Amino acid sequence: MKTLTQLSVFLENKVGQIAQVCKTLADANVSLAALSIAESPEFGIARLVVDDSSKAADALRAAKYIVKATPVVAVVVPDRPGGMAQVVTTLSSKGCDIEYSYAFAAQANDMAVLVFRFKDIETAASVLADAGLATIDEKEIKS
Amino acid sequence: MNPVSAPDFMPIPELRKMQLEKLQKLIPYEYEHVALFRKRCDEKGVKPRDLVTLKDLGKFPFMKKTDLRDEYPYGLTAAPMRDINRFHCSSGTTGKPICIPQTKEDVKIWTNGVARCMAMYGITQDDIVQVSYGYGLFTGGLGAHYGAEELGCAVLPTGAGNTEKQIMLMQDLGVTVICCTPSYFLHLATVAEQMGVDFRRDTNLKHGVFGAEPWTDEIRAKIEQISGITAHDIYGLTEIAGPGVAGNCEHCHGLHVWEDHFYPEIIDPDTLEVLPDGEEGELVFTTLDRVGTPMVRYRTRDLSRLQLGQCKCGRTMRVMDRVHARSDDMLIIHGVNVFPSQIEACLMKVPEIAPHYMIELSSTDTMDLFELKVEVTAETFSDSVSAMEAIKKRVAASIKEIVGLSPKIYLVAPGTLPRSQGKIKRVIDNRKK
Repeated sequence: MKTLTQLSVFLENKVGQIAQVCKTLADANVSLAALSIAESPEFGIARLVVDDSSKAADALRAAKYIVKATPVVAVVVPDRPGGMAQVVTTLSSKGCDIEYSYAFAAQANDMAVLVFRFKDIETAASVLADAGLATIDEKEIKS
Repeated sequence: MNPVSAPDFMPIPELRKMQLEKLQKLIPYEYEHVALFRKRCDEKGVKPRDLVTLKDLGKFPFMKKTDLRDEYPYGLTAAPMRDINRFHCSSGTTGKPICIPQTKEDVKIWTNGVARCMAMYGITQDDIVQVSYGYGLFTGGLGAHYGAEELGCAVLPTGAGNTEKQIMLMQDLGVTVICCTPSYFLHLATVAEQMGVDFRRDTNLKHGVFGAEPWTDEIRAKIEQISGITAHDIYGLTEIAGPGVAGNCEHCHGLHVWEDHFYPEIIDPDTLEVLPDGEEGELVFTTLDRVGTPMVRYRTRDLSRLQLGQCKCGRTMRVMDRVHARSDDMLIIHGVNVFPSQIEACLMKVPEIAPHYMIELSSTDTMDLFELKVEVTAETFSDSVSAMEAIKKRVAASIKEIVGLSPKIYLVAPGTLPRSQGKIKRVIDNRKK
């Protein structure tokens, strides 16, 4: 099973917080593939997919952020109507519980990448494999 | 036993006789040299010769922090300037500070109090003592410094701040004793963890001498658990000496007061009546030996209790309860009395958050807004908003249970709330008066 390491960063709800995270990554020469922000009224959690998660985590921790690494599954689908629908229908028909999800467009080849955080990643991965859906890991983000 | 500890074990009748003799010198001296005291005695119709027994001290007027402010800088100084050797000032949050001019002998009495505390904690001349209290006008740094030097320890006067360097020196020099505020120690522990330093494995640290801010049993347990050291409590205040007015032995659940130097009373803060030993009230001290700026019945605003009775350690000096709260610190929020130490105790029950906090109060026209900022820790931070909201709910429930109020909880990033290097400020009260 291929998984991606997603980095979550705690953000106080203040102006400039996201800019600082991005700057830290840029200074470390890390490329940001996807960013999703979960927010509550008082704080936010930035969830990041990058091309080098260990370098990114080191840079963020050195800048005193608290960072949590979580395994997520990234599914590649054709970038066209119904692409995502097929994946989530498959998952829900097998009872896979999605905690949250976000998507990003892949480079050049008209594919989209759907990032999923599952309660039970093992089961979800086998459901995706059985349905013949392709997943990617960090190395493939770089390419 | 270290010879410095000898007075700790003085037989009680001898101690009481000594206290009375010292008071019978102090009161006339104060009456003669301090105009405010003389005026107040005269208003009350009490004369120095009325002090016949120790109980008669209750007839004499109190001194308060506001007196020190009003009489700043020299109004309460009894000795001539040629005898003054040192000034210490206490942090005034507003307006003028308070200033305590002291003689050489006064500093020696203070040093003696700290040395006796340290000897009681088991610190000896074999120890290497790092003093991370602030040096300067604040008495914490120099007080711990003098006490450790008096015992013949090797003293490392780092002062406060520059935490990473402090941890490096602690390791490299083999420091065995750290003196700082409890909150600064928690900060040291956080930074040590970030540096990959484990106090148990990588340092020789055995003792911590903690004071200068009220702290709870929960914080003490936490300090001992994360570092493996024994956390000792040292109590004092600049107005009376500095640190070293009282300290805990290994048996008592409170602190032995060096009452051969500092005579303690407990009063009811409302009626101002002296309370018998065993009852809780406001702690009042009279300096029995001080010459520069003597204090007669100084109201500390600290809430405590005095216990009489022989301690297992053999010391005869009365034991005061650890100060959990200052009567000054009490907040009235929505009409409910709240001590910051209660909030601290509640937070200690929620393992997911760091024990640092800031209370912020503001008000609309009709009601108080009670906000509490707490720090998230790296271990418990989650990528799930609902998990983080659950931590907030646990904090709120813990406070509701003990304090009966539901503050609005803000989670903030680790290391962003202030750590104390002297006295910590944990309340910001922006309410309209």
